[in-house]
Amino acid sequence: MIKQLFTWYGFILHMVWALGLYLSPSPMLATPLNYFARLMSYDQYLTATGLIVVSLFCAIGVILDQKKQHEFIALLCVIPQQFVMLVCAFGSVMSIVNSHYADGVFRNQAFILADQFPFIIAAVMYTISILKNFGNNLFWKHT
Amino acid sequence: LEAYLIPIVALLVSVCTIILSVSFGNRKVDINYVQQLRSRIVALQATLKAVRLSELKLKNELDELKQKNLDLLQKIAEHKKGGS
Repeated sequence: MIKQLFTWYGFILHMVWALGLYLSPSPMLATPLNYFARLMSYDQYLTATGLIVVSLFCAIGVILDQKKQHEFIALLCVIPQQFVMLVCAFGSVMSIVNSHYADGVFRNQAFILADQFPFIIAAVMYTISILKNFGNNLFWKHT
Repeated sequence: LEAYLIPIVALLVSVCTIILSVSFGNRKVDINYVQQLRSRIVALQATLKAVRLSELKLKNELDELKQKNLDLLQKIAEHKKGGS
């Protein structure tokens, strides 16, 4: 369970984002979500459904991995969520570089870095957790 | 440009993650390796036990032989006394 902590973090985050999107289109202007919404042509329901689909795939992947069954399918199931998290993280990085949020609010870079860093570190840790879980010999190789 | 670049980079990272995971994730081999190690350890423990048992047996035999030797020496000494 602890090993998949970041996977569940992503699952809950995307589910909450999807819930927010079903209630209102305004979360699409949130900086981490903006680039993913742009990929989904700024369609409120399509973005929410996309987030739910990647979260469900991720949950299936984690369950398959816990049962030690179909490892490759489990890996393929957790990858879409990684893609979404990376898009969100890159969106956050771009907002830091451009010194403004996706909704156009200007702030200095340090402020945006402090605000957006959780999304960046989450994407990095999610990738590391996938590699540690599925590519364990990358970190520990027996002789 | 950003709108296209970000998904492409994210996709590339995802593909790299899949490749690395598939290349380095032979967990089944690991399990086999651990099982092999365990069976080797069990076999070595059994050998060690057998060696210790035979060591004890040899010690006992040596003790018996020493005792017999002592008895024989005593008998020889008695014989010599009786002969003289």
